[in-house]
Amino acid sequence: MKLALAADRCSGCRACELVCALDNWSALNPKKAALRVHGHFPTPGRYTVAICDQCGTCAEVCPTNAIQQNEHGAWLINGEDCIGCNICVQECPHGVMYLHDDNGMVPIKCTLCGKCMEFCPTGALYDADGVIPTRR
Amino acid sequence: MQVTVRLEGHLREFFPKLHEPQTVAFTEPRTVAEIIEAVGMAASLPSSVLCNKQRVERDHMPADGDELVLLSPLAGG
Amino acid sequence: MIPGYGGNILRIDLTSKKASASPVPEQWKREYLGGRGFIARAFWDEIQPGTDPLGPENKLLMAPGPYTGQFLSSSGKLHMGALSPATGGYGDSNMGGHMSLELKQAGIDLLILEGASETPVTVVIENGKVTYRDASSYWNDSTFDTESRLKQELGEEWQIMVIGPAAVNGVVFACIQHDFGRQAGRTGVGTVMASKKVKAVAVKGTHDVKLHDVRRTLAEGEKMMDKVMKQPGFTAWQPYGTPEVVPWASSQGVMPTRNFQTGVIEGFQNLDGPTMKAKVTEIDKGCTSCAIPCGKWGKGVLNGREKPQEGPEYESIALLGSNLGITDIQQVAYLNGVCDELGLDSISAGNVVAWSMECYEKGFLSAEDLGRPMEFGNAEAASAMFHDIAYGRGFGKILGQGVRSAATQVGLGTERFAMHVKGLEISGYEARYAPAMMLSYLTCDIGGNHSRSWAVTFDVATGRENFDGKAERVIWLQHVRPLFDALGCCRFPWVEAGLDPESYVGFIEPITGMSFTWDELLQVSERIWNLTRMISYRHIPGFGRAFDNPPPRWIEEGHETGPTAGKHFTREQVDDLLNRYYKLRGWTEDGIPTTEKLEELGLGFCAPAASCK
Repeated sequence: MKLALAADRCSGCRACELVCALDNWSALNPKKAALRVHGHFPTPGRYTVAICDQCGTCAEVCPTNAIQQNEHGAWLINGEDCIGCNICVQECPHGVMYLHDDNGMVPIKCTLCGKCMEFCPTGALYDADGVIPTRR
Repeated sequence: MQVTVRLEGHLREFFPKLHEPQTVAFTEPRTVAEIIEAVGMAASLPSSVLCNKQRVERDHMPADGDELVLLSPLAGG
Repeated sequence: MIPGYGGNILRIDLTSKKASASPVPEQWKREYLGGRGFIARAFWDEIQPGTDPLGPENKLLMAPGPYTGQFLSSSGKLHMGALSPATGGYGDSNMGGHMSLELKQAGIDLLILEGASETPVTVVIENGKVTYRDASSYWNDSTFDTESRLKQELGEEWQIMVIGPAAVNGVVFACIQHDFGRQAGRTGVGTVMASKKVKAVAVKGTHDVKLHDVRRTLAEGEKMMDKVMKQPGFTAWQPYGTPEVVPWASSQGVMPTRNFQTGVIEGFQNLDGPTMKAKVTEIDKGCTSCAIPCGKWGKGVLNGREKPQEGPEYESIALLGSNLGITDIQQVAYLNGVCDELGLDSISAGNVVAWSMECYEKGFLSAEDLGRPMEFGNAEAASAMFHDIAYGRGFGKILGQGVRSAATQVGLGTERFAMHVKGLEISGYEARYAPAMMLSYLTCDIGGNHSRSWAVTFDVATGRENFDGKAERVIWLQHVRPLFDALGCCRFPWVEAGLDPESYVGFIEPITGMSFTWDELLQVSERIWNLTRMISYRHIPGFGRAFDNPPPRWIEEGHETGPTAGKHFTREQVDDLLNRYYKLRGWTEDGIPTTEKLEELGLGFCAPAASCK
């Protein structure tokens, strides 16, 4: 699975944000999603989506090695080892590590669960490996 | 030759016969408009018609075995 | 506490700049669901008879619903209500986009804006906290400029709703705009917001919305998202959106043309879905969680000038296109953008300008009166007049009071073709020979609007001359369609993509823990329907059958062309339709809910108003 973006297809519906937070946090709260839709209106009149490409920069900069890669290639934060320094949040090249009070000091990060790709109605978010079928 | 005709959308409630796909048989080629009339509906009533999933006009003549889907007018809000 | 809700009523007094929150009554959730239901219930308590719609005692009410923000297709809906400056009665409007979930996440189920600020302000709501920013420097700015400014000042993740120059200058059909192209369009809710000197409301909410059973709600949502994207109607409709119905509407003779003089427009092909997709649309633009976005973003063009805008929807194509005699989709999109930026309801604005064009062509008003020749088909003239309306200039000032008022002021028989019901301009269906659709317009609670009951196919399919079943159908639609407004989600997955409406029942229990059957949900709708009827009865002297009245054009003239040429109903036939409707509703012959009906629906508190008049 490899999360990829065809931004010109995005309709800004944020179903991805909703399903991400619902599935990963059991929360109806798009502020807990690990990706963000950004609208650019009225000009140029487009959406972009900030997504995690599992580049591993967060793991590289983490002072306590709290971020490790699993067998699917996803970098995941071990909350117990996190000291809340936020260096990963600052250094993430895509700005897709988020903080929310309900999670204390541990940032929210994409787990490559695949739900956003599964449900994106326009195929803007899709699996570049072709494992998850694209809707359109 | 024959075609199947299916009706989708809220028009189905006025045409209960068309809940299931109907087979329409004819001896010579017919237009979509004629086929719609043959199943008991005014030709202008569906908002659009798909033939084998492609949008077609009312004067299109389907081939043997084609599937027509009649779409209900979808409200402008 | 019943979950699935934001939690609180947030009351903001603009006079004292004090805000207070109190839990929304649990009983309301069971009896009214939310959204339009909370609006109607609060309206009765909060807005007293004798209130001036533009005075500080009027209240602007806004409410999401239990389905708002859910992962089910199309849950980004916010309902609003206020005493309407256009009609003097119950006014409401529904707005898409992303504001409704934000309000809910800020802990709000009902927002009440009351009083009036002395100076222009932007109200800033961050979770429970309310602050005010001086909006004097941008009070007259366009909607788009205002939203852009606030997104920059506050942060792009904030949801913003704004009014434009039209509201600021007292146009009675001014809208509230959000997300660069979504509106609460009708009944002048924007005008009410302006009367309180509120230029914008900015909201940020970060709380979870608590659900009764998260995993089951998610499972239901996944099922529905999947299902809606597999509907055949989805594949056919989605690329085009609501403009898809244009060819059908014109060929059936229901597309309002040149101020509702006829229902067929030559050149309708230049206004249809595929043409719009080819010439205007750049991307889809969707509300919260919508798999089938009706929203299409692209550029309108008029004489080489471009204007980015969302739409135009069928209604705007009808009222700014065929109704103005314009058959160029790029020009219609341009005019839609003009209305959006100025903060004008495109339906009312198109309707009232069409009236002025007919007045011009028939010699009732001159180019001097109007500021310019106003011929049908002249998009430049239409655009200039929209600006005159929004800025209160010249004849625009009169038009800005609505078509009923303008025709009354001008007289000369122009009232015969002032196309309104109850003072609200009629929307995009030429219904003089369509009994169920006519009845829908006559009995719609806010006036000449189609959103409560869209019965056009029913009339065509079961016969325009046939009156049987029509009142039944209208009543059923008036319960099913506004149910979505109470639930806080969009009806298009049903209406446009063909999803079975009863499939929405499966969500109420996992979200809230409350059980409702489909019929029980419709009973809530019936309750709300009778309540909004009583609200108008309380506020409008003489309200009753006399207000369920078609414009004279609809009972005096037939179309010149088209499939129903020459045909129209008589006054007696309209009365017959109304009689059938009132009887089925359990209302008096004058169209007022009886005490028995009110008691049956748990609206006993309305009964004294019904009996003492």
